[in-house]
Amino acid sequence: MTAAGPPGPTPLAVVADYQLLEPVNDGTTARLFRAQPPPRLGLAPGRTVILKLLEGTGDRAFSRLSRLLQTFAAVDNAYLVTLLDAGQHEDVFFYTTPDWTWGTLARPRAELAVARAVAAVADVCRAAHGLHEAGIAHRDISPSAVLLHDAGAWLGELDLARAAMGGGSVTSMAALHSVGYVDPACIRGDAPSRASDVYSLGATLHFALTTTSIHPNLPADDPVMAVRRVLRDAPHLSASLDDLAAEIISACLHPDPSARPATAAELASLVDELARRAGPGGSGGSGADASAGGPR
Amino acid sequence: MRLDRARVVPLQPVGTGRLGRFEGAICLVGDDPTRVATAALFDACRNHQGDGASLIQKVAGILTRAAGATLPPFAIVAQDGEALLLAVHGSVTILAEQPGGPLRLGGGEAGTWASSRVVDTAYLSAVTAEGQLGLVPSLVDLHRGVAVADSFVVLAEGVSPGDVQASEGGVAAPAPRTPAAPSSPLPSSPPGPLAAPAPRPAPTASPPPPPPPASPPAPPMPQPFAAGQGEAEAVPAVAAGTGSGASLGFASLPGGAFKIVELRPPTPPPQAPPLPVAQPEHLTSSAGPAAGVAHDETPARLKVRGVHCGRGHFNDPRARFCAVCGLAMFQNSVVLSEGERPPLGVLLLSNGESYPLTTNLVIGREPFHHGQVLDGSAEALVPTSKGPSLSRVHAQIRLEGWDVHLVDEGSTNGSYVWDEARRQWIRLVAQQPYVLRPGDQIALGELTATFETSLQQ
Repeated sequence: MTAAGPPGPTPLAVVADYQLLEPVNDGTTARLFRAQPPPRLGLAPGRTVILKLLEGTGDRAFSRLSRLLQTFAAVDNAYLVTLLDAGQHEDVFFYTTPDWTWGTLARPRAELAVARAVAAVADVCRAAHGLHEAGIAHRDISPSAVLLHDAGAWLGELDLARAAMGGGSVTSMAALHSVGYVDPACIRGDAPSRASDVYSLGATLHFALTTTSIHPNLPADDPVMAVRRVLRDAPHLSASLDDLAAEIISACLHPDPSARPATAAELASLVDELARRAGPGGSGGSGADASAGGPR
Repeated sequence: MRLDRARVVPLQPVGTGRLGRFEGAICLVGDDPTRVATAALFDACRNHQGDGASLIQKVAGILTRAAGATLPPFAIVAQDGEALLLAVHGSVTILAEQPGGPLRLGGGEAGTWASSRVVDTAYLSAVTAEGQLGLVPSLVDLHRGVAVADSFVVLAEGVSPGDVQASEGGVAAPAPRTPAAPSSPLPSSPPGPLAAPAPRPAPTASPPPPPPPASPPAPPMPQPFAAGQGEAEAVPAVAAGTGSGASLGFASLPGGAFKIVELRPPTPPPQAPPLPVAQPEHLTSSAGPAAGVAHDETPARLKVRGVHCGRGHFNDPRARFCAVCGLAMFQNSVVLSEGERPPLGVLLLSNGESYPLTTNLVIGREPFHHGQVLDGSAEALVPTSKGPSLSRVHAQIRLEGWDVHLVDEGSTNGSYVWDEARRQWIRLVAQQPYVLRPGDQIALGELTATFETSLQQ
């Protein structure tokens, strides 16, 4: 149940003035590393950070990414991950965040009780609401964007890979893990919105309760088929969900955006109730695997 | 031979191998589905400094670390003073002309790998088991970067492609009086003799062969593509692999300046108003642009004439059912009105990228200077997986009324549409629009995509 201790001091590679210590798997194909930060950040000695790389970016992407990160950093919300630093070295764009003690909801570093998983979703609902109030749609919410720490969860950064490409693709090979969490209307061309993020939050809640996707068994080696199935197939809700959980998730996934919870904050309150039920002594949101808040 | 002044000619540009040319080194890697080893080897070649011996040592390290794993076959040619160091692994053969007689170096024979040094060579060739040597094109020279190839020829400065020609033995040999047809794969034939280059007129590069026949269910790649004629893929500064950061799969970047973003500037960026809350009548097709990141990426939609379903959704007048709610359109089919055109579908790329078709697109590796992109009538689309087969400006997607047109922009390797009835790819004539139908598969060079839409039902 304990997080891994600080990594050894031997850097394996250097980017800008960061020393990369080990790769980090967040459940995506993103290039993430645990890194030793430079003294200029003023962090406590021995503290590590998570460094994310976007390769092949140029000056065109640099200005775009910079603007997006500044917008993100300006949002004052305790449930959003804090951006520590960002920059570009050669044609690699990088940015850093605090180290996640417990990994991500998609790939926790230790067994995760259902109650805690659901509470983490409530946290990121509040983070999403903060973004929405600041005029920003996240549009890449999935279990991989739920960053677990000692006191709860942060919502990970925006979809920077898409921003680096100047918009365009809604999905990509790198984001194939999350295609099952994207509102199909966005894939068809609708603008990301509160409602599309609520859809993603509902799909993420389904994963938190059941560890399964609403589009199970998407072909990992056939991205085109995966996207086509998301576009054509209705979401599949696990039979293990109890009535309240199924009702909340169904509402989030409703094809009509106006039939979904109006705001992510409203959804957070509903998820709080699920988390309370899933906690010790609660009835749980998933009848099959959440009793007594057992480990997932 | 000086590699920096030599001509490097990739061959079999439809193969599975990759040829990289870097400062002081050339590397050919055979079939490598994951490309991890390819990236590692290219990384080593790209980043090496010093003589060829140090590069060979670095490659030996990669081989050592891969103990137990299957590495793809590869060949490396590295400058070492005035000499060349050669290294091969697996089913690759290098043949080098030299004064004392031709040198044949085969990795397969050595079990793990083999290396040698040649001092005075005018030309050499390398070929994988999948490759073969044929006519050496006169116009091709891979200056730098990566190209698809299963074999290659290196010609010293002053030696023209017309001076040599690949024989059936897979060796760059003196050209015969008449151009030879593409030869059989190397492993089935012993190497032919080498002789001094003989002056002769350069043969004309043969035109690319037609698209290979289909092999259902997966359509084949439509067209071989030229390499080394300005279409070679630029090599990213950082590639997946095992450079100096072996266990990271990432190599250190070279030292030097880097830029830092001021994340919290004294004057923060203006905050956008809160996103609107969806209203009951606020249906998906009329959702306003999201604020923040979405503001600058939501183009204004054109007005077109169409019909509304009984619930008010705007549709293609040819549609039998509403694309939004599925309501039958029969009773509305004659009432045309003007409205905002919804996205006409999605272009699904074979790598999983999806592009909603809301505006005209110019597709290519560098479409930013296309006239329609500059005048704002189209957006540039640069696929993440752009490869050497994609021209700088390859094709356009034009939205005409309710139709989606694919137009080839005179690309080097062509634009294709899969003809299911004839089970073959049909190459589009440049600048001749092709109206895409739901489910159509298209190919731009080796990039394939599917057109998906729910509007034309």
